Amino acid sequence: MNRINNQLALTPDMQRMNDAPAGATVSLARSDSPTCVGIRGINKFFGTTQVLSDVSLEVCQGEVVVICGPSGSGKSTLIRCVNQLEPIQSGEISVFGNTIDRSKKGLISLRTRVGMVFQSFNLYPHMTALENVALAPMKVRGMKRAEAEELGKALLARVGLAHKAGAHPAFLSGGQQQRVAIARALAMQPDVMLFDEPTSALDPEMIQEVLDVIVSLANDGMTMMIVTHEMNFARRVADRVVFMDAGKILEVAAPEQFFTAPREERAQQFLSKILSH
Amino acid sequence: MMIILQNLHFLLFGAYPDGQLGGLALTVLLSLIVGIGSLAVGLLVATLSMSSSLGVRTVSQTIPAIIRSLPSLVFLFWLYFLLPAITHIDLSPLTSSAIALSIYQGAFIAEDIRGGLNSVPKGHIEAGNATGLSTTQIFWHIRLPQAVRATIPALANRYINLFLYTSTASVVGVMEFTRTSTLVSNRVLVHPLEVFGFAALVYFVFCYGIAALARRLERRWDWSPKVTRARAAA
Repeated sequence: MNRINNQLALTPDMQRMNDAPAGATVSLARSDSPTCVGIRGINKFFGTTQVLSDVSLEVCQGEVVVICGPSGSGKSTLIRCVNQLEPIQSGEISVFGNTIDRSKKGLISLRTRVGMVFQSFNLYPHMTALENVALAPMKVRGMKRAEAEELGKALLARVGLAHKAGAHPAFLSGGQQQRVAIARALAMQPDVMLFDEPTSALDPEMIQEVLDVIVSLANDGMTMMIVTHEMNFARRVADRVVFMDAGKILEVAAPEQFFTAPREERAQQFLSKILSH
Repeated sequence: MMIILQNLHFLLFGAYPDGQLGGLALTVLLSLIVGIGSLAVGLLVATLSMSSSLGVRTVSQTIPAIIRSLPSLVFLFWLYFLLPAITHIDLSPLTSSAIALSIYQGAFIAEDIRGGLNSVPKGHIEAGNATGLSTTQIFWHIRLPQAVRATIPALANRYINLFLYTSTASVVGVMEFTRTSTLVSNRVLVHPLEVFGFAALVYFVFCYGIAALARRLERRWDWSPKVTRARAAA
């Protein structure tokens, strides 16, 4: 995180906000717990259909976990449960050792520490790229417009789009939009980033530029949970690979082991189909 | 033609300045008042219908549904006789028409606004949630600006309807444009075609104006990629 801050060249005010103790208006305090995200025995139903069965996973600070598996296996649902875009019916999710509290304040404080990037970008079309990025810092952290725009410009430069700060999403390609979406999620200076199939909606030509940004974030030590079908990328960036099917975690392994010799038969089937093209 | 010109002042302004304002001026004034009033009512009802309390939601959806099932004339009459009876205040025909029509049109506008708000892609709301914005902040900064585009056609439709139905206020004695046209025609007796032809023309001009303005605003506040790019190229 500090390395990202240095790269962003924060103004003294922003640095002060970063150093503020927990409980100040800007809470960027970091827990000393090595576990960033703890998922324990969660079950989730959509109506009567069970989409997650007794799922448990621990993600350590600075770790990159890639979650893969066939469609409908519950991968996206799992990470959406982490920032409470989906409620769970049983089990426990904790971020930095604090069990998630579903009150309004609790949710907001959770979501300021967990950033999310969506498959369909979800940029606000009526705002420019810079305004998209600066909105949450201004409204949630109460930053002044000038500061938020400074931060926004720095982040857009980080993802290689400084020259597009004044453009509306309609004028950006898919890859550019997704990079702006990444900058927007980074604007809240989260401790965990969640990626829900970030390149699945992109033209093949634009996938690489987005993956490069994600890899550079990983190199800076960001804790990440990534749902993706891009297996080569997963191999490059993952510290651990989690394979899911039908709402259950079937296998967790280091990427080298997973991609060369997966233990589970279902995983072997999946990989043989996916890696053939 | 001459008939129109001879009676023009009465048609347009009623008895003003010797008496109350009437004619076209009153129609326009009443429409403006009802336009603002019904928008306020519509926004209120739409907000209530999204409340977290089931009771508030049910009431705010049932009552407008009932109102929407009544003819505006019946509702107007009913309120005209009902309001003084319950509040024991004597309201002028103009005031009670303004109130009745505002509520009536507001019930329709509420549905239009709800539809517009629901048309905003859920993904944008989720993105707002994911960055920690509160529901109110999401409503003002993300939902409303995008909902406007979807609401305008329905809203324009409503306002045209509203403008035309101010003529129903004539049955409770408001001296608006339809009424003054009728009075002129009754006095002159032999030129109904000209008088009502003129009235129709005037109504048409205003309603067409509303529709044209709506089309302009639709293009201006449309944030879909195609239209945004077309707007910049123009």
